[in-house]
Amino acid sequence: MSSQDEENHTEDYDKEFEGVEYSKVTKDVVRSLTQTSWKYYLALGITFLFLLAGAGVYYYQTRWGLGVWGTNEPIYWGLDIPNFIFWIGLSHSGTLLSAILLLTRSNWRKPIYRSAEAMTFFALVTAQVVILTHLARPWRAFYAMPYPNIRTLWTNLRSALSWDIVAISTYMTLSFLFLYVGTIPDFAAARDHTTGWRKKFYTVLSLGWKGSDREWRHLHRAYILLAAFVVPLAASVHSVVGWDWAVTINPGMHSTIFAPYFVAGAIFSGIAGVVIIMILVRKFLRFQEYIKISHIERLAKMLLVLSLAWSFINIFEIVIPWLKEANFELMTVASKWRGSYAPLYWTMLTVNGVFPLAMFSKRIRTSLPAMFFIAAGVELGMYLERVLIIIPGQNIGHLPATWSSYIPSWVELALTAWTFSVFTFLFLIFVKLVPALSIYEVKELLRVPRRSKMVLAANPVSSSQGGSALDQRSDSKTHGSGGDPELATEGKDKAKSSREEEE
Amino acid sequence: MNRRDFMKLLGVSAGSPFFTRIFKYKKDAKEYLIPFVIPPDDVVPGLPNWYSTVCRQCPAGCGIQVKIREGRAKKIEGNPSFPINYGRVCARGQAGLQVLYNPDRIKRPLVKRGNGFKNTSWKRAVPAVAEKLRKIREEGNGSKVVFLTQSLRGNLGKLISTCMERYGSNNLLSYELLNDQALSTANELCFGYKGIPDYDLDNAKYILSFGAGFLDTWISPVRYSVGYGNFRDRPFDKRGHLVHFEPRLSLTGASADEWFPIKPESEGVIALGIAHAIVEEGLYQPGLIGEEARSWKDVLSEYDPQTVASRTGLSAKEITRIAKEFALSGPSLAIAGGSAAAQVNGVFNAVASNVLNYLVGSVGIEGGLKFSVPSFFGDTLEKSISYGGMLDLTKRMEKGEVSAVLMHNVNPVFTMPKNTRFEKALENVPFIVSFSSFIDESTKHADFILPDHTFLESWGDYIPLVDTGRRTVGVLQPVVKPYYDTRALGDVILSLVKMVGEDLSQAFPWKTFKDYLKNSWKIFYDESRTRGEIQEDSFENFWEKVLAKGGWWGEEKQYLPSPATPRPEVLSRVPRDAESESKGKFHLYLYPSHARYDGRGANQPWLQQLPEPLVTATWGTWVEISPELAAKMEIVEGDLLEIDAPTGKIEVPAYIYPGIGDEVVAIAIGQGHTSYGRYAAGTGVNPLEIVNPKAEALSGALAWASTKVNISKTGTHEKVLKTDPDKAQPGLEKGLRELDREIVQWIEPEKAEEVEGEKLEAIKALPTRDLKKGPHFLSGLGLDKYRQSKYHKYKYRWGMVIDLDKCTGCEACMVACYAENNLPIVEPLEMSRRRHKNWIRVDRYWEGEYPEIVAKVQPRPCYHCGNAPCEPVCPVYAAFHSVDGLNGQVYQRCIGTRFCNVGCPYRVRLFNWFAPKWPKPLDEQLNTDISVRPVSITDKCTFCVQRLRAAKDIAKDEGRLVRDGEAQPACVQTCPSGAMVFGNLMDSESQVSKLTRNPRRYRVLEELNTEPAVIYLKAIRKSPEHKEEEELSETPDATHE
Repeated sequence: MSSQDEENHTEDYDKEFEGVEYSKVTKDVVRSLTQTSWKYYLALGITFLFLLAGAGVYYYQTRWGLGVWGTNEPIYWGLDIPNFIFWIGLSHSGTLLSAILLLTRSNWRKPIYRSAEAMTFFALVTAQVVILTHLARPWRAFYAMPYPNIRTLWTNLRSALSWDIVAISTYMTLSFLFLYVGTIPDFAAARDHTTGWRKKFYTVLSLGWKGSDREWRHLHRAYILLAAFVVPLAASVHSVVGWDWAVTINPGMHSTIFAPYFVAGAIFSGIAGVVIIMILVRKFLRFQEYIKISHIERLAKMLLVLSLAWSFINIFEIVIPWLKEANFELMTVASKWRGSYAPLYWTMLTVNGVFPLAMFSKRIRTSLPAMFFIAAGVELGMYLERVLIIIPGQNIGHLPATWSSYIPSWVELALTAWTFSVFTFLFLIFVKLVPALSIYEVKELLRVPRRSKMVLAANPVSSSQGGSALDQRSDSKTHGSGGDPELATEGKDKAKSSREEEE
Repeated sequence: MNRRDFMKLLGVSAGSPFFTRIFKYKKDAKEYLIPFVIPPDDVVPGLPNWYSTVCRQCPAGCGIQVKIREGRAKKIEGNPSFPINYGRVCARGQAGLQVLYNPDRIKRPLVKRGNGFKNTSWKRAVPAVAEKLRKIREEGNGSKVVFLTQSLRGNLGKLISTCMERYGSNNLLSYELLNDQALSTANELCFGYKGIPDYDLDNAKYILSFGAGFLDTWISPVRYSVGYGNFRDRPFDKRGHLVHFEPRLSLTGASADEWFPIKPESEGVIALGIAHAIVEEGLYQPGLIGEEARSWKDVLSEYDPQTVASRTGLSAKEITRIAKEFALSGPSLAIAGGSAAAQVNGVFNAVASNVLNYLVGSVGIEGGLKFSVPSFFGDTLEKSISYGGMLDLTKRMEKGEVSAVLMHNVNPVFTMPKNTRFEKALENVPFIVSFSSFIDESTKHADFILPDHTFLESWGDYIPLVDTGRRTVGVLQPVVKPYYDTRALGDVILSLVKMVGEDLSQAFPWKTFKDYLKNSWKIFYDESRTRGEIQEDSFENFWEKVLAKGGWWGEEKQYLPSPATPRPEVLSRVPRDAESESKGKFHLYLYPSHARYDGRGANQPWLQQLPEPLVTATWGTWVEISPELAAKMEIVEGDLLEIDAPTGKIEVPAYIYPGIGDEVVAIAIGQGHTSYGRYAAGTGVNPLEIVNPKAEALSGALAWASTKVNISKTGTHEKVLKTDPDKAQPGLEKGLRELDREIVQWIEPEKAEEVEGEKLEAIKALPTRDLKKGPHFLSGLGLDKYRQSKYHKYKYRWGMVIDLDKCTGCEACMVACYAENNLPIVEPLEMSRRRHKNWIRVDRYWEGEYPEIVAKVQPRPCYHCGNAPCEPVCPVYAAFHSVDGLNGQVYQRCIGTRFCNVGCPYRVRLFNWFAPKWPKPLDEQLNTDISVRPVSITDKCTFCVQRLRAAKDIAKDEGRLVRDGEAQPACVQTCPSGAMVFGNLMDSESQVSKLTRNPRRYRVLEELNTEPAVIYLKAIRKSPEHKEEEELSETPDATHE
């Protein structure tokens, strides 16, 4: 770091966080981990019931075969593939957003990125669940993995599905690492402020983080490096997912625009997902002081831009077959415009292309209910978009004699609900185990506290990097490992009360 | 009771189920763990045996061969030398195995108890029946015993009829709903020949067909399809031209060069209109001179084209043109039949068509209609009864003049119109014995059921309904052991006869029907040998040869000269009243279902799931209405309509059918059973219930095509289970058309003539990905070694040519595929979810608008693309390309991503949604040469790889390549018109290679660059647009004249 940076940094705090103290951040975040309301347990319980019910449906489907779906000849894919694209798409903003913003040093990412990254990872996990529901013979899924075997059978690397496996597993690994590496100091902080099993848990996860200068340096290097990897990967993952359909020669699917189309759509839905998650996290974890309206507004601007890009590609998708005079692709378009898919299509256009235009107004951008509504609409619209790519693409094929229609059966709807319950369940567990707000990075946004004598005496540090480290350490030094009598007793009481609640 | 007793009792009661289990097991044990420790001489485990016999799925009597593996019948194929069907079988013939293995067959003799039946034994049942018959005879009521059968044209019929005569009754009556009586009557009137002449389609050049669906179900469809194949397959100047007149587009109409939708019941008038034009223009045969010609002119004077045009809806110009073409481009042939013969004026229609044949001199000539020499066994030995006769019988039964009815595989309760009260009358008969194999609506009334073997377990012989001049007799032999405790009808008759009376017992000394049969053949052998027609030195040798051949027929074709010629007076002798009495707005046009025939196929699940050609509906009944009518009455597909005839009402869902006129509604016969097994009962509605019960005046045939009805909406809905796109979907109406894709290509006759003889380069280099060339990016995985092995030389590239000019769309290929490849039964629920299971299917596209509408059909197996889009998408190599060019599917490897299904632009890969189910014993038919696919995998047409593999193995053992035609997929083998040809495309001399050089060749969606190995030849027909163009270009010429 240059000295200029160092100098700047001392002034580089966010005015919005004026008045927030370092210790308060740690306290609030630890509070979010340890204090649990009945609402949480209710939500967790309901989600868990859904999870179990979904597992039951999955057993039913696996026992009897995919005939329990509403699929037919030639619509072989039902809601499974739209679900898959949906979750992969949703995974696109967390990590990508976080990494891009990190690389561009947009500090406003700091309060929001942790939950967003978690969203990415859990969306990817959910996508794996979707793949299991999609495979008719999931017990043979390992055939798709390249492993040495006596039959010298390899996977078919010409298959777009094999590309998917490579791309998604790489992306999943990297986004997990990115999430984990960025959380290590927070695990350490949590370790230092909790007791009981939590302490043991965070001790393991924090990998013995002491907050030394060397550790901070390595952390930042690794973090930047991972970010640099993740960005192109995220773009490639959804390109590959787009190619899955583009390599088939079905009208309505066989199009070169699919890679950018899917990436744009993924980021679009991903940012909407971030908005929803942020609004929920802000409300239910009481992070109003950290996740400000201005963050949502910045996300809203991105959402607006992507909505416009998405609309552009959609127009493009119609214009090209029209210019080609490809009667068949126009049939697909016609079926969406005025055929049986019209209700879905026009809903999609409205919620994805029209409603987001409201975000030109600052009042909308800064209104949480409005933003929640728009983001939820975008999620719905993007789900419909995937349905409208997959279903008519199979239905309106090259041979009109084979055309068909599709209405999902209760099994597919239940499995769709199941994927949502998997995601919600994982996320609910996450917010109670992992600091959902980055403690140390939020602290980086705060005005460096006036140097008190005690701190100075303990830490004669002058580098900006050390600044946060200092605070970290100063926290722990000041309060000791759970040494702060106030905090400690509070923590204990809370732990006790939560135990009672559990009982 | 003390403790000890209690314990004993406990022990006994605990053990008793176990003991009964053992006893029961011993009693019922029928399975052998090791089938053959010492196999019979002619059985090599693993190799099939083929036995010849005769198909009895309809009265036509085609020769078949049945594949037997380890004592079980596996597949039916045509008998290649049989001079009726020449190795081909239709869809119903292919399904014959499901008669044998039908889960609802009667397994043992039954006796009536209350409303149901109770098991009994042969030991008890036969004497009981005999006792009853003896009593009836002793009471002097012998003549009141009636024996009703299906068509029995052979020694069984002869045995029964002589038995009946001796017994004192002259009542062996064989009744078929779809009979030839009107035609026979017409032929007797015109030519003095009672029966159906041989229509020589093979050599005819111009055919006028009046309602005769000879490619559908009429008389002997396989024989005519074979003829049709030859009719099309000629050099251009000798190529046949088919003109078809009928109210509803049938498969025959769809195959015709010109199809004229006409008013129902106007067939005869049109024929006479054409005759008038011929006579007027003096185009009649030169033999017709002076007086006779003049009297014809007189008789025909009222049928001048203008009048005919006004009565039929055809234009006078068309009639004159057709007359000219018919008279001048001989040999030409006029055929009337089907619905045309099943009208109140049926005989008139048939006579009119005969007159046409006579006027142009097509009687008794090559390419015309010819009169076969009666078969070796003389007459057909049966006494067929007309509908009129059945009405008499009903009356007699009602009056109590019938003391016993014996029935054999005939179901008049189902096929007689409801208000003839046949069922009521039958209930009035004190004693009914049925020999049928299934509890159908008629058998349900029997007091005793003494089940006969099915035709695959029986001895017998059968004289085909139409002969090709070879005096053919087919011989039935049991191809499998009787599957259940059933007994041959002949055997039962012989044992009954012995018990009924001493005098009878002496007259019939034979122990079994087989002895009787052999005796008859021995007599024939002796006679023929003295005449020098048979060379075999002993009867046993001869008999063995007959069984191996599947019958006996002459080497040379022999025909009789026309016994008489039609006189002009004949026209005045037949009633030509075309007006149906019953009042109604719409003409109810019934037609025999392609698969279910007159209803007897309804219990065979393959025939239930087979889409009705052109309609694509399965499992059920529907009423076809025209799109205009639907628009006018605001009917959408699936609306339940009430069909209201004076004789009754039925409710049937609507199907909008573009090939039908406004004033006609059509329903297929064959469904609506209330009994007859799990597949038939409760499926669909029986339209025969409301048929106008009127008989044709001269012949007494039921005029099942002459009913008038009203239709109205009921407001409820019932889904039509079909495979074509849902018309109710807005925006997808065009889905019924091909759009701009040119999927089924037709070529105009002029253009075809232009390019004829042009020989293109054969399509040979189909495997575009030559794995040998260049480093493959998978090298190093052991594949290179395999590629260089000696087995990999690209000697074969299997391919298929389908000549759309010959394809009739009869769907025989589909059932052949079901049988060969263990395709599961698709039940109605699955069909309602649109999950058909057809490895080869026949797609249908409409073009043009009524009345200029054409239906284009196209069989679609897997194309085995050289550059297959389904292969690269599979992540686990379950879809792969074999060295001889096949697209394989490794079922064990499939993980069920269904990516290949979506990747295939032709949609020929099918997914197994559920585990396939075959109710026992249908599973015994399963082909042991290939696997039964489990649930959740994708399977597809393999070009019958098991057959290719077998042929290659033999060829390899003999150190040669597979000969052309040695290996054939099941669909190609059975194709009645010979439209499909299969072979090695790498061999430039193979038939398939030669055909690929045909200038009519094309491949479907060639622009997708998939390199299909299935090559189509364009049909030589006029498409509606071509016709329009022609009319436009014709107009200035007309003004010029």
